[in-house]
Amino acid sequence: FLFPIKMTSPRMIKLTSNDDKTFEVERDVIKQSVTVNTLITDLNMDDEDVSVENQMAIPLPNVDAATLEMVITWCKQHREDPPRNEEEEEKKEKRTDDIPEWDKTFLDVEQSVLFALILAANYMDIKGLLDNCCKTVANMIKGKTPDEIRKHFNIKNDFTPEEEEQIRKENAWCED
Amino acid sequence: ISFQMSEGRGRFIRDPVSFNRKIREKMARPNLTKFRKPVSWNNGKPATKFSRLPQDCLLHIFTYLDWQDLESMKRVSQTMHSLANFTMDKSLRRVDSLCISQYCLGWAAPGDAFELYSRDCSQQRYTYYLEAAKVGMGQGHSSEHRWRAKGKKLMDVSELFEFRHIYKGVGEYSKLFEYNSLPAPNQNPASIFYTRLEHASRGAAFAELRLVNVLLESNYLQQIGRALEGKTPQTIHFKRITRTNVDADDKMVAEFVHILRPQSLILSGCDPSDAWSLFNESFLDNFVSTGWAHYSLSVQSERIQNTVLNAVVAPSETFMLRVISRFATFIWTSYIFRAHHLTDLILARLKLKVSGNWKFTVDRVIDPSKIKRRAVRTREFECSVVEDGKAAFTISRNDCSCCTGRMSCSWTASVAHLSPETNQEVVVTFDNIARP
Repeated sequence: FLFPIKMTSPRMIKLTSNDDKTFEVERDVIKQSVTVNTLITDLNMDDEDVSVENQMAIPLPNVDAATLEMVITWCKQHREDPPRNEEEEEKKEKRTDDIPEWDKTFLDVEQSVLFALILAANYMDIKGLLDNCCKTVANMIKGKTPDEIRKHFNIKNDFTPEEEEQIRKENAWCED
Repeated sequence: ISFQMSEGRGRFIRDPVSFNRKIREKMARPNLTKFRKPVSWNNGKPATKFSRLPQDCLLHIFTYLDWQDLESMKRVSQTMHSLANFTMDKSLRRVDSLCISQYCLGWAAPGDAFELYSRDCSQQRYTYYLEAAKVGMGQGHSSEHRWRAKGKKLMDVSELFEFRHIYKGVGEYSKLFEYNSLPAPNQNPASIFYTRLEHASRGAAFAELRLVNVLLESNYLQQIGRALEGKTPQTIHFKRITRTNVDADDKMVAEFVHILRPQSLILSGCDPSDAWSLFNESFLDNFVSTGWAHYSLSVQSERIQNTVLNAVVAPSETFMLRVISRFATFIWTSYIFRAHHLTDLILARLKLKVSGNWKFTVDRVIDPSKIKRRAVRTREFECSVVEDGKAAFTISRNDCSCCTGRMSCSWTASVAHLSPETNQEVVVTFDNIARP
């Protein structure tokens, strides 16, 4: 007596980037995005009767295809991560030396890509990705002088000489 | 990543070990080459720049920066200035210790001409003295080099203003502030000091506030209290303090502690007469009215010989009643502690009729036999030692002074953790305290 085993394929969700490229991603993977997760729940997209072909794609107008692909890659890598406890995260000391090795390699990209990821993570509300991106940027800032920071991030100095002198006086106590 | 398969599923794979290894290798090295050279990011729009990130994202990044880096960010551009300021206002820095000292007001330099501190930071802190005046202080070698470069001579007065972060290393967080050499009124405008103090203590939560060699006759203490109002350090540590006008300065100390409301007060390295006279009645009343009884007090002496202390620091009954017994925790370090002090303290505590644990620490041996002898001699209460090493005793007294014998009060106390070898800590548990 052999009963046929029903193979349940993972539930897929369609996401569309702002350049009209559609990605199919497992439901379990994309649940890390609070924005998408809320949309899925609110629109009853978890309903079993709706096939992926008939499913409406979720538009992400603030995320381009290349960034979305990276976001999905990150989510796939971190799908097994334990759920975050926001209260505990708030209490924890803010450190930047605890970025996982995989993420360090993953986020070793051009500045524009990193900033696009920050924007996407912020928009899609993916806390883990946003934290690691921000830590990476913070690490770029640490230990640099104001001039070095301006040069690194191509920021224009818009202080007047008088303002600069005033700020220098304010900070005099902490200068060696 | 651990890739484990159940027995049932694993049989479909010929070489699960190799399969697992391949999976691990694949996962460990993400294929990111396609991301390195993006063809068209952001749909052909200009690439996002740091300064064009939304403010909430920038603020999120700034929360990972330490104080020094935020100070650097403030000087980058106007936007960064306001955002860094905002972060500094919102964030709470945990600072281990804020040390304020006053070596340049004619105070004889304590100890040797060179004093070396070593704290929990990887670098060492140095304090230099020359001809009874502080020369320089800082961390690492910068101050030492500067001092040596000047031929070990007294630096310019302006250089005595040192308010520094002590860094464990690059990128790490400042854990300690040190301000040395309070300005003499005729030398430097005091306002500079308080402005800097307010600025430096901004957003900081101090575990400890140390006041070393502070001459309390000046109004510095009051001003410091105002500058640090609301900081609530867990501990205030007065070390080698002195004053000339006891009444007036005691009020100032009381006000200072009242403003900052620490959980613990430490007096150390003081002249014993100073330490005790801080606790006159008017001074103590300030704390009693603010619930000071729940706080802890520690009296330490580091340099005074026991022979001197033996003569000077015999705690009076008033002191027992009004001070020691009122503190939930009392730490008594490097003072001779006679056996009868224990019974006096317990009696004083009993008179307060406060139930619960009461702990004090001493570092002198308490001989249980002396406790017994004391009890026998006074005949005011009975005291018995149960066993060596873990002594416990009961005090009972029928003719208590609190109700002048009209009512019968039964007082009971048991002492735990009383070890004849160390006697480091005595925890007294009071129960069944009758309230007349």
